[in-house]
Amino acid sequence: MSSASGGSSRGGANRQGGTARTSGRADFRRASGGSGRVADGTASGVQNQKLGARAPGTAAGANRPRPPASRGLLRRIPTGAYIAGVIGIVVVVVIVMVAVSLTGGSSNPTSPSNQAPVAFPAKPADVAALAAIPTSVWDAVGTGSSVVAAPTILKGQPPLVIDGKPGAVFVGGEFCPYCAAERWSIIVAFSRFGTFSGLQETTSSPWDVDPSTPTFSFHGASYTSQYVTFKPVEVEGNDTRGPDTRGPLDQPSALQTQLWQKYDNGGNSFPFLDIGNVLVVTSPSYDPALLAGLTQSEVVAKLANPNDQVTQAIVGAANDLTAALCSLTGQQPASVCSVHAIVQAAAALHLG
Amino acid sequence: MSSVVVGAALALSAVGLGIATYLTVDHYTGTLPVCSASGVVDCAKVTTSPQSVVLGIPVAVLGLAYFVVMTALNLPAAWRSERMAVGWARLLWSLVGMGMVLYLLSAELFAIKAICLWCTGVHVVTFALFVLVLASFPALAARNAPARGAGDEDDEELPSIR
Repeated sequence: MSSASGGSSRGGANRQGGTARTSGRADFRRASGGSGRVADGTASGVQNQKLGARAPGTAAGANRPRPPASRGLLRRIPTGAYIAGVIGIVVVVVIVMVAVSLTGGSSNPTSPSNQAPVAFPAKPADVAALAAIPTSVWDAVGTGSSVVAAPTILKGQPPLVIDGKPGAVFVGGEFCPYCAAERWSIIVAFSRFGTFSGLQETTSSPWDVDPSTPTFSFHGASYTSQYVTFKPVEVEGNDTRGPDTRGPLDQPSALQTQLWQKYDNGGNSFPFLDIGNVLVVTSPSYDPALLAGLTQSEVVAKLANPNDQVTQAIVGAANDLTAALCSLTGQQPASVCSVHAIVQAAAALHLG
Repeated sequence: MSSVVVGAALALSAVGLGIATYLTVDHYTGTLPVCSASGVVDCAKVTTSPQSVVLGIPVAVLGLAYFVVMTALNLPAAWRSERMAVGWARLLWSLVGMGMVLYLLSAELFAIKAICLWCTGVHVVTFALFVLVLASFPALAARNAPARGAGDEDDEELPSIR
């Protein structure tokens, strides 16, 4: 036996093994599709699979419907522009409202209820009746506490003396409905100590709250008394063609201005009444609505009935003012200051 | 959110709350009816008008309630909140306030025909808050927007098979 043949036997055997392994890989490729190109992603044989498979060649999102062109335009407007627009609209609305209110007239100038008030000399019978209310009515009304607000009593203030007598001042405006109410009580009270002349009858502004409240005006009037000095002034006139169309009327004296500013919040409101720096009134003693729709004569006619709310308001407030005046005049005149209602009012107000 | 914005909003709310408190106290202690010697500026006329009560509730009380809520919504903790509902509540509340301001202003100008300076102060504060809240809302919304994480894409690929 030769070595050459042995070698060849072994070689043959090796080739046989290698061949076997080679044919095994080939079998595998054939089993997987046979093309020999499965790893490169091309569209053949086993390919990449995608969710929501699309037709070849389409881009991502190509199936989503396009938004309308207008919606795209809105999206290009900055958010800040929207905000500025909203704020601008609010500002414009406010400006328009203010402009309309300043230039527009809401009242009909020809309407009877909106005509400028007229002042005329007070009827002597009305003025006389206010000075002649029976003391029985004073007593029956008392302080009228059900409809009358108590005045403010000052303590420790220097006495107010005018022209050598206890003094009193009033600051009002003809337009003012609260002044309109207060003047009735003022005239009734002071008529118990002296005499008015030159009073005018008028109404408050028809364009304000409690429109056209019947009243008097102290503009051009005078007061004489041996017991007290009374200095009233109407600082503003009446509205003539709408709200806030009034002008200045009388110039207050330095004393009136000083007292008004001292005791009435800097002198910014009406009515203001100061009796001897003992009693002050800075808001109406009763509701002007009680006088709504009445004429001066109709109000005067009611003053004989102590059960009428108008009487209780006017006479009740007047009794308080009278008690203050009596405290300054040494309880004179006795015919006034000794009346039971006045004594009661003084006690209620703690007037010495 | 900027500390300046938060501070300004809180300060405005506090000012509004103070004025509303004053007007409420004034309402219940009895505003004396008087005639103004200052012309159209007449707080007593405004605060005693029929328009000073809405649905039986004094406007002063409504204003007080408004600013109590607004103050709470403008606290620093509320501005720091990541809950967008707080931001929306603040914005809507400022819109409510602005609407009420326009109504009350129209009442002053056309019905009452008088202006109350205290009320005007409240109106100015409310408007300033409205501007501040509205202008800062986009930034607040952006801060509180949820982050976009993995898997948010509409198109998703399965891994390829090699």
